[in-house]
Amino acid sequence: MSMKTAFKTMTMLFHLIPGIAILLEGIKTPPGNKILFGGVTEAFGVLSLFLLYICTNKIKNINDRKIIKWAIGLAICTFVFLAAYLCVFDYCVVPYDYEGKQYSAYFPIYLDANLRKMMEDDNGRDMGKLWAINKYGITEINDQIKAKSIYLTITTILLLSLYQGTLLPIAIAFGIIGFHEKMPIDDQGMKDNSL
Amino acid sequence: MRRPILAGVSIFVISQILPIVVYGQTAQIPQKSLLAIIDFNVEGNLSITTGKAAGEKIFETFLNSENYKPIERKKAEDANKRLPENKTCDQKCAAKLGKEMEVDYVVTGEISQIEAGKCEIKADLIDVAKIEIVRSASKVRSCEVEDILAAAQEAAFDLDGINDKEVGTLSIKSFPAYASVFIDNQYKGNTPIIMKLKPGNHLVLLEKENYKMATIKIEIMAGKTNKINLFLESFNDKTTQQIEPPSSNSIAPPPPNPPQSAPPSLSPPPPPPPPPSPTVAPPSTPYSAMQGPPTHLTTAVSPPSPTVRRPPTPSTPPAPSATAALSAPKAKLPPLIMSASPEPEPEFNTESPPPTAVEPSPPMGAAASPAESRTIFSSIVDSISRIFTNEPEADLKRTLDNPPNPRIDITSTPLGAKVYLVSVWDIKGNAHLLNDPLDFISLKEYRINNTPIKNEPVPLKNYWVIFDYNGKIERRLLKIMEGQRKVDWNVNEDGI
Repeated sequence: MSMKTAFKTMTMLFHLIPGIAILLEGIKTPPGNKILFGGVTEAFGVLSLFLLYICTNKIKNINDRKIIKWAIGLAICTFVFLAAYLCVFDYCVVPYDYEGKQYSAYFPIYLDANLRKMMEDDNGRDMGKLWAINKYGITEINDQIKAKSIYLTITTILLLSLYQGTLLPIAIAFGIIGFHEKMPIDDQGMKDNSL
Repeated sequence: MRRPILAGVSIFVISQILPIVVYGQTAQIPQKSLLAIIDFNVEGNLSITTGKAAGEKIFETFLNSENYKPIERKKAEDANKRLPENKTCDQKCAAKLGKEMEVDYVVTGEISQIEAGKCEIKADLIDVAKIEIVRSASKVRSCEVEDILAAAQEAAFDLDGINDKEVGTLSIKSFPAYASVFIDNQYKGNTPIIMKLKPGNHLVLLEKENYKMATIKIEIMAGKTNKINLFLESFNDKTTQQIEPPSSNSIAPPPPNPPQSAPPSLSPPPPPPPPPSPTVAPPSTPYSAMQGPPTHLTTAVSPPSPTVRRPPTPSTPPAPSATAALSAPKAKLPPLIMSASPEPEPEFNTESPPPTAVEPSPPMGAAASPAESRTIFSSIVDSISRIFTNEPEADLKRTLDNPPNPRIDITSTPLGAKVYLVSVWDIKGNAHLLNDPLDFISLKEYRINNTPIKNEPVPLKNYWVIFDYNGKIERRLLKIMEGQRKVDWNVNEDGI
């Protein structure tokens, strides 16, 4: 199998598989949102695959150096988005134990006055989200979150954007290399260079 | 160029508006009549609690009614308390109470022991405005509480005027009993339960504290009865249980009182079926094999016999294609051993153990045979199709991210103390009210009932439980999140 085929295969995989996997397993998605995240990922994956296919001629005409620059840029982009996503995710999604099983609570990125008050002890010290869950119960926390659901919606949009920013650039990076006519590291190119 | 655009826009607008107009004219939502259920009079050796429980069961049944909307039980109970003690409430009295409660109909009745071991439950539906009995129902059963409750439920169906030919009956029993039953994501009551459902596919979910959730997909056919018997598996169970694949038409009854840590195993049916042993001889499938990615259990459909199971054949009466599809939160399968059998007449015999059948799953980690691969493949396809077909099960999976609501027991010595539940969060900022809790209670009504309170489902919050026994007040912290489920107060020993 040539490198070109390998890259094209990777492109297909990176565009189509993550969406389905997220739909089924909800990989690192906020609780209750795997369908949304999986569906959007799958839709964007298919769309970008189509766009790459339509723009094949344009991609073929881009010179090698630009392709490499673009690919590296997109890979860095993925890494930056991934780091940002993980930070926001860990801030918003708090795992807790209940009757020997682990569940997750999903907090908005901005906490309203009531939620902030919930996390404070009698002396006004911030004791954290997990402390509040154990003190008041998860239903009470969820009730307060739902009372200002707009904050949670904004958080979901932010997380969804970061999530897409993690998956799409790397898929496109593989795509532009795969669809490029003369691949910088193509088998034939390597031979030509050696000659 | 403009004309096609205009035509397109017009068609789009009409296609959007037309269904709304047509639906608005044809689909008129019927108004439900308000209904109050008064506690049943009890005669003979039966306890008042039985009358209350029968009233509760009828209330639960009417919750699912399409014609009547029952008012809160508390309201009806308060009205009931205005009656002089030991006074039976006749037609006029019921109508008077109904007027006080501002309802259209009242259900009242009595439970009496007609002979040794036989009880009769009579129920009347009374039109408050006309002061006349609209419908009556009478059922005779054994005096076991479960039988009386089943009879109460059947009486409620009669009073509701449900036509048996248009709906199907679903009877659900679980082991252990008192599991919450949800049909298509709606709470319907606790097991054992009989209900009337519209024909079609329904998703049944059973939930009980400390037990794994079980979901079953079932097809209801008009005029037929489907029976579901379920063993719920305790969370404590790990790998101790083994399930032996049923050889042909095998079933095994559950042991009468198996410990929670060791649920019953299945074994082939020796005649008569003995209680299963936890150590089952090979060949067997480890129970852990049941916990993994979605697997399908096929329910055996049997003719009316409660103990013998046969696969459906063309000669058997029309059988609903009952298929149990399992799913559970966090990709863990609920422990499910179920049977569904269509029968011409519903019955509620609690003495005979529920029949069980299970199709074994392959052990995890073992190399998958072609048949097993097909099962795995079909389960993946099913999962994907469920996501896109917006089936209730897909919704269920989403809601299962949260833990189930726990059930609590609150008792006092002596019994009869009023119990108020106030969440810890509501107390925050009003802590001074804890010293005089009745002030807080008067501010917000949190009273749930009088002791003893058993198996009461509550949202997952930590609470202050406030007791009031003839003016003597006590408060106790109930830490639900830490697994506390019981609160007991001895009136003579302590209090504020």
